Amino acid sequence: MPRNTNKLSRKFQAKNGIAAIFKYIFIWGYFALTFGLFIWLLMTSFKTNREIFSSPFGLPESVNFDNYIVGLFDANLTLFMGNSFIVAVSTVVLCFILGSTVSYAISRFTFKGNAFIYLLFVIGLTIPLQSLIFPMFFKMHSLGLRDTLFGIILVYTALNLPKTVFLLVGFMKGIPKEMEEAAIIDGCNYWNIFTKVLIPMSRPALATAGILVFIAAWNEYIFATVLLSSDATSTLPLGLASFQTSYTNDYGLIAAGVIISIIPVLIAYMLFQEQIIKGMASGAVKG
Amino acid sequence: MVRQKTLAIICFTLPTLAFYIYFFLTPVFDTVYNSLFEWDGISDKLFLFLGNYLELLQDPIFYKALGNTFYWVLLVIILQIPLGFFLAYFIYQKVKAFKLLRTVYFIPVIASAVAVSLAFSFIYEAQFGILNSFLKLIGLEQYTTAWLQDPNTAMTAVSLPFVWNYVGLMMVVLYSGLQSVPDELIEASEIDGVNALQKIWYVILPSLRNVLVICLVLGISYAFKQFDYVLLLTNGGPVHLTEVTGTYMYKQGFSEARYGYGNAIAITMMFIVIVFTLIINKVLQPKD
Amino acid sequence: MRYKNKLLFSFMFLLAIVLFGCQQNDGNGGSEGNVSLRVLHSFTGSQPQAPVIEPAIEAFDQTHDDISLNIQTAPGNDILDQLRTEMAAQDPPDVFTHWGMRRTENYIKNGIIPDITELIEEDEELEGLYIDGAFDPVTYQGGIYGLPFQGYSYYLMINKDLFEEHNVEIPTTYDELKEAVVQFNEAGLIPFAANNHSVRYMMLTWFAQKQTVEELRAYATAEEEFGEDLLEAAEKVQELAALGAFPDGYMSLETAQSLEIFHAEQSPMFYQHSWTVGSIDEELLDTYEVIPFPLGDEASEPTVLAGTGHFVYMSQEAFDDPEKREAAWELMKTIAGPDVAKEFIEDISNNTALNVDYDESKLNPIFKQVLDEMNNAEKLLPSYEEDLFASAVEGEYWPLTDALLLGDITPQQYVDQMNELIAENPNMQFD
Repeated sequence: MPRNTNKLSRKFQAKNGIAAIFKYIFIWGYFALTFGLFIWLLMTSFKTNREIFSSPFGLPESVNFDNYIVGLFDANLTLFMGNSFIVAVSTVVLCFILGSTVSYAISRFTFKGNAFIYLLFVIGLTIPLQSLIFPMFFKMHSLGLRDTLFGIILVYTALNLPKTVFLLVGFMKGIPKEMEEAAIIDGCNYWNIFTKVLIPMSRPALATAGILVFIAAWNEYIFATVLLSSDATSTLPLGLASFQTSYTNDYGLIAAGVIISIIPVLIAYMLFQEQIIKGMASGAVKG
Repeated sequence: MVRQKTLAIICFTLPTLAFYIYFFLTPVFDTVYNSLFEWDGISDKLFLFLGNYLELLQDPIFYKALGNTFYWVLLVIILQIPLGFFLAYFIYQKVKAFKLLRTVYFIPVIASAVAVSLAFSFIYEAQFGILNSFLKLIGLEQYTTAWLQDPNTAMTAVSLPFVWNYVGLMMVVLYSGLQSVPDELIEASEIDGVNALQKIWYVILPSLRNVLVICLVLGISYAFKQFDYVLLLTNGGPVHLTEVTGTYMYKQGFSEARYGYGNAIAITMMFIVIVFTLIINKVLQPKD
Repeated sequence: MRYKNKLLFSFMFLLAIVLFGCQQNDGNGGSEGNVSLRVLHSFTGSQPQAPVIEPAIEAFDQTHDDISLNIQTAPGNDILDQLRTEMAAQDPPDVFTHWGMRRTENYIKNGIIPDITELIEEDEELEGLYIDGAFDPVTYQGGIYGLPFQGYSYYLMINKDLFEEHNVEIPTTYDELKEAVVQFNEAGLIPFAANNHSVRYMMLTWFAQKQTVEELRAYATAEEEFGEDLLEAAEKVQELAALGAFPDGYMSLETAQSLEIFHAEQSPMFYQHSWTVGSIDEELLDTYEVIPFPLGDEASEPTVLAGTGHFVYMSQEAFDDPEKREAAWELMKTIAGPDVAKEFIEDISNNTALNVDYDESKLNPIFKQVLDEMNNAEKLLPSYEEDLFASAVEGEYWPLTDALLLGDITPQQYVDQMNELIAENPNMQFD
C-alpha cells in the first residue's frame, strides 16, 4: 500500500462520520451483491431443477456433485476446458512475442512512421471486432485452419494485439532512457537491451496485458461459434452456451458450468493480482 | 550504428506488422469493400456502391439500435465509471479486507459474457427468477415484472450485466490511477479543511483526469463491441426493443444472410466509435 | 536470458501441442477409410435428440470400414448460422441435418443441394417407409431434396389435478377456453405455460381448423389473400394475451423454460411442438393428459397440425462424386432409417417421419396420447411454420406475430402486413 492511505482514512473517519457509514454500506453492499450472486450460483449448482424452483434461495438438500460430473464428463467440459487453456495460453504467448517486439521499436526508437505504426494499433482498439467475423472466417477457411485450435489462436492473437501494444508502449515509454544507455555502454546490442533490460522491466505491463488477453481468449464466444464446429476443438464458452438453447434448460447444470468456467481464471487473477495493479498503474494510466 | 539501428527497427517491427496487416487490417478492408455489395453468401455479388449505407440511413430499426447503444454509453458514464470510481476510492483508503474486496469486485470481469448472461437469465426469469422471487419474499410483489420483456425495463435489464461485468475493470484502472496521485496534493487539501465531497471533486477527480478519459474511451468502445449479452439474453427482442447496433449487425449479416448490409452496419459503428474517441480526446485533452 | 529461454521453450511446447492436435484432427478426416464424409448436425450436448442421433452416426462410422466420418456439430438453432457460413465459404458439409424448404430454399435455388428424387425412386428399401406427405417440405418445383426423419405435431396437454382442484371444465371450444382462462387467473394460476411459439401455434391451429390443404397452399403461394379467417384467429390470440392467459415475459421465454412452468404446477395448460414430449418430467406423467385443441367456432373442424420437420441432406459436391454419393446416401438412409425412427418413438418420445413398428409398452403415456390424437384427428394439416412459408417469409413472420401479441399492431394490420409479406415472397415450391 502507498504511504498516504493512512492519512487519508484517518481524515475521512474523523470528520465524516456519515460519509464513513455510507462508505462501508457502499463497499460491503456491492461486495454482498457480487459475492452473493457467486455463492447463489454455487448453491444452485448443487440443486436439481425442481429444488431450484421450489426454493430458489434455500440451501441444497444435499451437496451432490451430479451437475459437476455431468458437466465435466458427459458434456465434455473437461475437454473444452483443455482446449480453452491451450488457446488462451498460446494467445498470450504469441501476443507477448509479437506485441513486445513492436512495442519496443515504437517506444524506444525515433524513426519515420513510428507514430503511424502506433496509430494503426490504436485504431485497432476502436474497431468492433465482431465486424471482422466474415472476413476472418474466409481467411481461415482459405488457409485450411478453420475448425483448428491453431487457427483460432491466430485469430485471437490478431484481435488482442492492439490492446497488448497499447499497454506495452505506454509502459515502455515510462522506463528511463538511462537504463538503456547503461546497457549500451556495457556493449549490449539491441536484442540484448530488449531481452535483458526492457522485458524484465516491463513485467508488470506484461502481467496486465497477459491477464487481459487471457481473459479475452478464455471467454470469447462469437468468433468461436463461427470458426469452431467439432467437439474436438470446442472451447469452454461454446460448451457452456449449448447448455441453454431453445431445446434444453437445466439450471443446475448451467450453474455448475458457469462455476467451472470461472474458477481457472479466478486462480490466474489471484496469482498475478499485485502485478496487474502495478501494470495498470504505470501502463494504462500513464500511457 | 545507423545501419544497425535501421536493421533493429526492421527486425522488431516487421514480423508483427506483417502479422497484424495480414490477420487484422486486411479483414478490416475486406469489411469496407464488402459493404459496397449486396450478397447473401451464396448467389452472385451485386455491386451497390453506397446503396447499403443509403438504406441504413433510412432504416428505423438501425436508429432504434443506435439509440439503445447510446443508452449503454450513457449507463457507462452515469453508472459504470462512478461505481468503479467509488469502489476504487474507498478501498484505496485502507479499509479492512481490501484485498478480498478487490478480488471479489473483479470476479465479474473474469467471467465470460456467456456465463454472466446465463446467470442473469436466472435472475430475470419472470416465473422462477431470483429477482422476482426476492421481491415477493420481501412483500413487493407489485413490482415484479418480466424484466426482459417489459418495455419499461427491458433495455436497462439487458444492459446491467454489461455494466456489472466491467465495473471491476474500471475499479482496477482507477485504483491504479489513485496510486499515482501525489501525496502532497491530498495533504494540502486536508490542511485547507475541505470536506470529503469537496476533496473528491476539487482534488482527486482533476488529478485522475487522464485515467478518467481512458475509462471513458474504454467504456464506449466496450459498449459498442460487447453485444454478446444482448444476443444471449434477448437476441434483440421482443420486436427490436433491445436491439443494439452489434446485434443488428450480427443478425443482418448472419441470420438474415445480408452480408453486405451487415458489413455496412459494422463500418458505420466503427466510424461512430472513432469519431467519439476523437471528440473525447479533443474535448478532454489529457493534460500533462 | 533465462527469462527468454523459458518463454521460447513454453511457446515451442505449446505450438507442438497445438500442431499435434491439428494433425490428429486431420487424421480423423481422411486417412483411415476410402471415402471420408464431413457431417454437420445439431443434435449434440443436451439436445433432446442427441441420445439417438449421436450414437447412430458414431455406430455408422464404426460399422463402415470403408467410410470415415468427420463429425461437426452446432447445437440447436446454431446450425442455421453454421451452415450458412460454410455455404458462403463454398465448403458445404457432405451430409447435414436441417429443417425443410423454409430454411433450405436458398441453397436449393442456388444448386448447392441436389435433387435426390432418382435416388429415392431407385432405392427399394425406401418404398412405403415414409408417412404420407413426408417429403412435402423438401419438395421444390418437382424435385425432392432431402430425406425426412423427424416428424412433429402440436399437442395440447393439461394438468388434470389443477382442473379438478379449481373446478374448471375442460374446454372444447374457444368460448369455454376463455372461461377457463378467467377461472384460472382468479385462482392465481397462469392459464397457459406458453411462450411466443405456443401462441403462434394456437393462432395457426384456429386458422387451420377452417381450411383444407389446398386452401393453405393457395394462401402461401399468394394465389389468395388472407382474410376473415386469419383475422379471427389473430383476434383470438390477441384477446387471450390481453386476458392474461400467458406468463409474464412469455415472449422471451425459451420453450424449455415454459415447460418448467407447467412442471411447477403454476399452469394447467401447455400447447407445444411434439419435440417437447421427451422433456416432460416423468414423475408427473399421471397428472397430465393430452386433449383436443378447442374449436374456434361452429364452422371449425377438429384439426391437428402435423407433418415432418427435420431432414437430412447431402451437398451437390458429394452428389457429384460417385463414391461420396454412395457413402452419403448410406448415411442419410441410416439417419432417416427405421432403427433411428424406432428409438425416436420408444426412447425419446419424438415424432418420426417413418411408418415403423414399435413396442407400444415402451411408449411414454403422454406420447401415446399425442400419437392417438394424430391418428384420431379428422384433419391432419401441415403447419405454415414448418412447411409452407417461403424462407423469406419465415424471418419476418415471427417478429410480426410478436408485434401482434404485444398489441403494437391490430389484427387487421397484421393480416394486411402478412398479405404484403407473402405477396413479396410467395411460396415457389409448386411451380
